[in-house]
Amino acid sequence: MIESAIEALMIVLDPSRLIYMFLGIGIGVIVGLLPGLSGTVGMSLLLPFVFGLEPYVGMALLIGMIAVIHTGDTFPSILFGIPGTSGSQATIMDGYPLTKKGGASRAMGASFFSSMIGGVIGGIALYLTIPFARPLITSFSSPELFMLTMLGLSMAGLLAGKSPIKGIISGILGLLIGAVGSAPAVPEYRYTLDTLYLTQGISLPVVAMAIFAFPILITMLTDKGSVSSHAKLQSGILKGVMDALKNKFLVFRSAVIGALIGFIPGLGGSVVDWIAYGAGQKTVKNNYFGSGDIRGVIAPESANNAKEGGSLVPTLLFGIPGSGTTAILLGGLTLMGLEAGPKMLSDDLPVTLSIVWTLVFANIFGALLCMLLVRPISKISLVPGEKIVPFLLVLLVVGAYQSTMSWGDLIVFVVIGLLGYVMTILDWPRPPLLIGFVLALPAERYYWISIERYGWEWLTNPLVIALAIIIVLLLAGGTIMKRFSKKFESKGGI
Amino acid sequence: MNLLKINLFYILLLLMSAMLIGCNTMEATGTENDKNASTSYDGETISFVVPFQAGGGTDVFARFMTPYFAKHIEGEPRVQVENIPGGASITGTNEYANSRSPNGFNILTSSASSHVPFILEQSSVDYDLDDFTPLIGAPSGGIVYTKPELAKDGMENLLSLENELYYAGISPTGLDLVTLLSFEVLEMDVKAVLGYEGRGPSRVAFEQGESNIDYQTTSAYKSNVENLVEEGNAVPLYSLGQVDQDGNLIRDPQFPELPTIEEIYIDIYGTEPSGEAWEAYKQTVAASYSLNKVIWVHKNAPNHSKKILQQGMENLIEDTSFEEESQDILEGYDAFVGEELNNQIEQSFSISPDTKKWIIEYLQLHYDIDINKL
Amino acid sequence: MNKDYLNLIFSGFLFSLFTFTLIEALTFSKLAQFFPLYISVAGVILTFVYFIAQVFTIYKQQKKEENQTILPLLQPLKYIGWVIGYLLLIFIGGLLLATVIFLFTFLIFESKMKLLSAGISVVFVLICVSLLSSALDIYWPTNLIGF
Repeated sequence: MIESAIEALMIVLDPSRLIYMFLGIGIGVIVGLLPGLSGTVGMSLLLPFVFGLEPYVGMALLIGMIAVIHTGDTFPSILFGIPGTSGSQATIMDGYPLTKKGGASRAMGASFFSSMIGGVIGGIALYLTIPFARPLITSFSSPELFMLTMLGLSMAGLLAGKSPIKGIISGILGLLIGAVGSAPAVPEYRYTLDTLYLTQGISLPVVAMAIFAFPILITMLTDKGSVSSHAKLQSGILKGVMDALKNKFLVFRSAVIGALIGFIPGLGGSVVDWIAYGAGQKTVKNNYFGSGDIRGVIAPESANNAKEGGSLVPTLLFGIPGSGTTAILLGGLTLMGLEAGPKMLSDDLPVTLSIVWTLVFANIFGALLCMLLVRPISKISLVPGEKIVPFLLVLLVVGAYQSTMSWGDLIVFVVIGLLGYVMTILDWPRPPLLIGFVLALPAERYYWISIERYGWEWLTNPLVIALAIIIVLLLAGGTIMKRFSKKFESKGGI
Repeated sequence: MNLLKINLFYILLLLMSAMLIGCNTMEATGTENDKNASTSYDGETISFVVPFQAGGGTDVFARFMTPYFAKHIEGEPRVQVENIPGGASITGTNEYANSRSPNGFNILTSSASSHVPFILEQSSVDYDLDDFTPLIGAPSGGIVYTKPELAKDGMENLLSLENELYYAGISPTGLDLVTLLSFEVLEMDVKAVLGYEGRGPSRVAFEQGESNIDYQTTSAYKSNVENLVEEGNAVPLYSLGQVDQDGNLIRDPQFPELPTIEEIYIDIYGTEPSGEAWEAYKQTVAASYSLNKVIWVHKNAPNHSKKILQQGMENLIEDTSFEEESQDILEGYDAFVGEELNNQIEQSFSISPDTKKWIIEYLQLHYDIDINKL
Repeated sequence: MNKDYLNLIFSGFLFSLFTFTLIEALTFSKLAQFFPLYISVAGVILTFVYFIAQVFTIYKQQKKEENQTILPLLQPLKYIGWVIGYLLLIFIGGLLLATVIFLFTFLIFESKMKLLSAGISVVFVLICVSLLSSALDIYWPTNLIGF
């Protein structure tokens, strides 16, 4: 396979194809940095152009874009506390406090460097898992997938902050919002208030923006003053890179978590940043996560780029898309005359390998491009709130509207935004709500399938029991941990 | 000064966007083509409503067709795809029926998931396929397969199994309905576990043993199941078949070696299948597979425009490059146009009241589904 | 307003929300029902517990006459009003017109910008939005007439 890998490298480095990769990178960074525009928008933008393209060229374009979205989306997360895409919500937790302290450049330096390393590790993970993909993917049955969603939900408990009951209620609220729309077990609509809009459920980008961005807009206006309270921006990109290097094991760990979660079909990977953040919070000593710890930026940023490599495994080899982005990628493959499936490992192996290389190169160049942009873009954090908010609002409204191009998007944006604002001023943690929202559908689906298929027998499955033990340890560990460090409790989540 | 800084940000965006404009060929403001019915497509734009998210099977089909439309419709109009996702294609189809001007510049693609709710008259359906004129239709097919150890003693043994067959499906009102009805016709005892996310995850469920009887549509079968068959991990049982213009179930032309359930039934029970389940099966095969995708224009569009569009379709299927290129997208089936298409539509969408009532009761009885709530 | 009172009102609101979803869930068919029913029940119980706990907190605090956190309400309401006003404008006039009016008035009244700079900013945003829409294939809300 090494020979074919080198062959694929030559294909990728062909100048006529490199241009397309750079075009993809450019679009990916823009789409990432505009809040509300996510991979799905980028993909549907490029889809009309890939028709009839040579697969190598088309894949360079598409994968180039996918690879760097989670690099570019860091800008608004760190600068304004507004998630650039739903994949960089956890970055806000520490990135935004760092910006308030004037450390925006440092946070971004660390984040881009971690993104780069994470993305490269994701590419390598894709390469290494190719031979074992089939047995690995078919080893997860529905009961195990259900327990994995439970594991994700218990992360919500970790992120609850000082009041566990508020955290749990917030998570339940998220599950409830996630239950709006069609039920998985039976084609019946729930809580649609007799509107056709709600039958398809509420879309993740809208919820993510509403719950994080809307409150920020209002508090920026009421608090007056610019985001960064320090008059001078510290130039700290290099410092940030050094921070990331110092925490190389954290970068590596988080990347592995990211690739693994991306790899498991059905979980979708939308919570990967939270899981990496929670895991980082558990394992990093002397941390002050939540109040501007640089390691709280490194963990999710490394994981969310690594996720893309992992999530391409089920997409390319099984035709199972893990997200909206990869779902459109499947369509793109068909338009280029390829078919996702085992053939990607035999006849079309060079294409698969060229994807690995593109992933690696795009992550490196994308991160470098973003580092060049740090200087001009981070100056925005010095602009007073009341001068920047109206522009952000226009951007967010247009962004929110892209979800389904319907008025419902804007109404949901405001309603959930108000909920988010009330939660902010009353110190209710919001991350559990998002995790609950994302995992609601998989939790219900796999619970139902497990019961329907195996009765209660599935509870005796050894993997299920093992996962249950991990969850209990995690939750118990969380409370013990909290007794030891009172420090991060003082902030009560964001 | 601060203003300058804000503007710097936007100038930056502006420059980046300018880079992209070079490759942009689409008008994106979503405005409608509200011109008075002009008689020519010369230099005009046709808006092509696709009631699905970009990237799905129907969307890929639509995008594949657009360049051929542009080439073969007289006047070489531009064809612009517009995705209106939601409600499993019902939102977009409703929108096309009720809010798009019937001026001949708006066309629509439908798929099985808009056809079946229409023939069952679900309450969310606010369109009438009889109000549209079909332009071109494309079939698809499906293959049912099982584990080798279950198939080795033949079909008869499979039918005698009780509580051993598990089927992983998505929803009883989607394409799964046809497969479930085929079990019903053959009187096979299959426990259907519904709620999977898609055909991909349900195939993985089959591979890892969570289910042991499954189906895939033609292209997915060729790319993902045929290798399982070669490895000895799956055995095809029958194709769901096609319904011809006379209303008979025939073998799938892509899989001529596989029997239909009619043949299997005769083989085992000695008589031809009959009764409402059988009628319902043929009806759903016709509406879901024999006409898997149809492209339409409003029936009350100007006659002249409809003529030009229909003529364009007839030219299109004569095009040899279309025939070659369409192998993947149309899964190797021949598209229907003209009189043939009209007959097929007549065959597929006119359901007898008894059959309809039977299907609705079947869904209510077995799957607890109230069709009036959908 | 007193933060603890607000918390009480909010948990009361959540309690009624969960009660509503619970009652609504009872009308669903069996297969669609179990999940929303479970979480609604959990929500009702937990919010009720929290509500009672909150009442106690307030009761204790009143005895001790501790310092209470007071949250300003009027100012945020004003800004929320701006946001909702903008959306209403979009509904009436479509995105382009609404953005022009909203940005211009906001920049002048809230940001205290000069007329000229506000004007320039608005023009810039308009150019950007239209460029983005044609380059990135994004859509924006139109009003009832489709402008």
